[in-house]
Amino acid sequence: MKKNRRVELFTVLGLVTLYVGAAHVAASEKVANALLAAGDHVPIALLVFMVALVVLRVAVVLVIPGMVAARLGLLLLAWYEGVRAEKVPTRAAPSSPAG
Amino acid sequence: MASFLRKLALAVTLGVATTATVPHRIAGWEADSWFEGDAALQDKLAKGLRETTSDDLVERPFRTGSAHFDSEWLFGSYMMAAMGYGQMALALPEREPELVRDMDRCIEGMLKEKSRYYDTSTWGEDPLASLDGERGHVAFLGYMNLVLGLRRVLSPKNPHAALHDRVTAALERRFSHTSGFLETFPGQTFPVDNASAIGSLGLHQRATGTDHTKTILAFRALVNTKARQDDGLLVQITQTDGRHRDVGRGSGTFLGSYFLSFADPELARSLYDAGKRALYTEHVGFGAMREHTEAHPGGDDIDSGPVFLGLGVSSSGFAIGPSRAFGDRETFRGLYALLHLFGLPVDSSGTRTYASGGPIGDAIVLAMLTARPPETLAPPLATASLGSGHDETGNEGGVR
Repeated sequence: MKKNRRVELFTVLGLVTLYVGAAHVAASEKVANALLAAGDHVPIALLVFMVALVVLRVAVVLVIPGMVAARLGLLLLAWYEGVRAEKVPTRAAPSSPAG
Repeated sequence: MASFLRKLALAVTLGVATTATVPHRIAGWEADSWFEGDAALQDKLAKGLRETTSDDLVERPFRTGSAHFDSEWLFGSYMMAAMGYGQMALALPEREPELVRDMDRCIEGMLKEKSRYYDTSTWGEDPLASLDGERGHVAFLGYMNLVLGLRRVLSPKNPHAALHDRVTAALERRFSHTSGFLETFPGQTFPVDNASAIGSLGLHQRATGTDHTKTILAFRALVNTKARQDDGLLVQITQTDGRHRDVGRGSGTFLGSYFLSFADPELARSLYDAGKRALYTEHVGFGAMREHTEAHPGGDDIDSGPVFLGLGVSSSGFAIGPSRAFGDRETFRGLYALLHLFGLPVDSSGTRTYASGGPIGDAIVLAMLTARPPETLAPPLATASLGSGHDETGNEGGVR
């Protein structure tokens, strides 16, 4: 596997894992309850965590499927062009008059 | 260059097509199960809420910055959780004993001094100690009585039956002594809070056979003549005589529709249809309700919840209940997908919690996702039709 494809794959898997982990932390620590209970004195870390969680959620559900589909489409196109490129020179090569 | 453009076109086409067709199906994959009343799903959310209503609401009180809203949210969390448990008990008779225990715990929570504070402090008198009086108290009594009514439908002889009769009698008497609405707080009248009281009369009639038809139909006439704007939305704030002090809004219209489904399905349906027509919008399969129409703009407040690009959190959340109750599967799917996207659901150890909503969010979601078809709860009303051509949309009816 090419290095950049490996990076893309692990980025996607990393984002999904990060979201699942962060969401479980949010639920088990009852972050929303803490946020509602904090009143006017919401700790900035808590707020950043919740915003990041929502951004991750939107990325995982809304953005990543489209990006994965686009990437797979490009891989398919590259594979198809590779197959075609292999076939074209074979057909076009002139045969030797000497046989 | 041509090769680059071809690749770009392919990537954009695939990306857009996938975004338009896949994410809302991922987010909404449980929507049909919820719509059909999947007991395992309901149970997961109910279990999480059981923990919350047992300890957390006391250990981690709300601190909204206002003692009034802290108390109101505490009350609202118990109230909506109780509605959810009660609706589940009706759908799952074999689970009734444990769900009724959950309801009773929530009723005890609603009766706590802390939960009553928002009403007591505003009126200067306790809502239950002043039942012989004439002042509205409808923000406490209406909501409380709705839960007591659902409890009474489940078991006519229960420890709260006497209180239910007393509160019902007080509300009925107060409605009969006015040609307008009851006050929520002194000088503040919210038709949606009156709708909760009317809903509770419907449940009392269903449970005990006492006839409240006259009051329920009088309320329908009052709402239709005084408290609906030109597009049919329920006006959020009025004076007691019905003069408008705000515009019609999604949060009040859909919550009012849910409450009225327990007493007057025709008015409830009419409000839901009007709200959907005026406010529903769908983008890449995710449905949402606006809080205001373009013709009647307004700001957001604690009732609307956060409003993003005109789309209301409360409006969208409260619309889930009537969309299920009236069998509108398509709208339910769209709204559920949105809830699942931004609610941040987390399943752990057999429970589910919506991480972005807190206890009040989970409670409202349980009540809305288990809303019952009106014909299973509302009493029969001998009445002329509103003539609004219901079921134009071919929605599904029936018991879920």
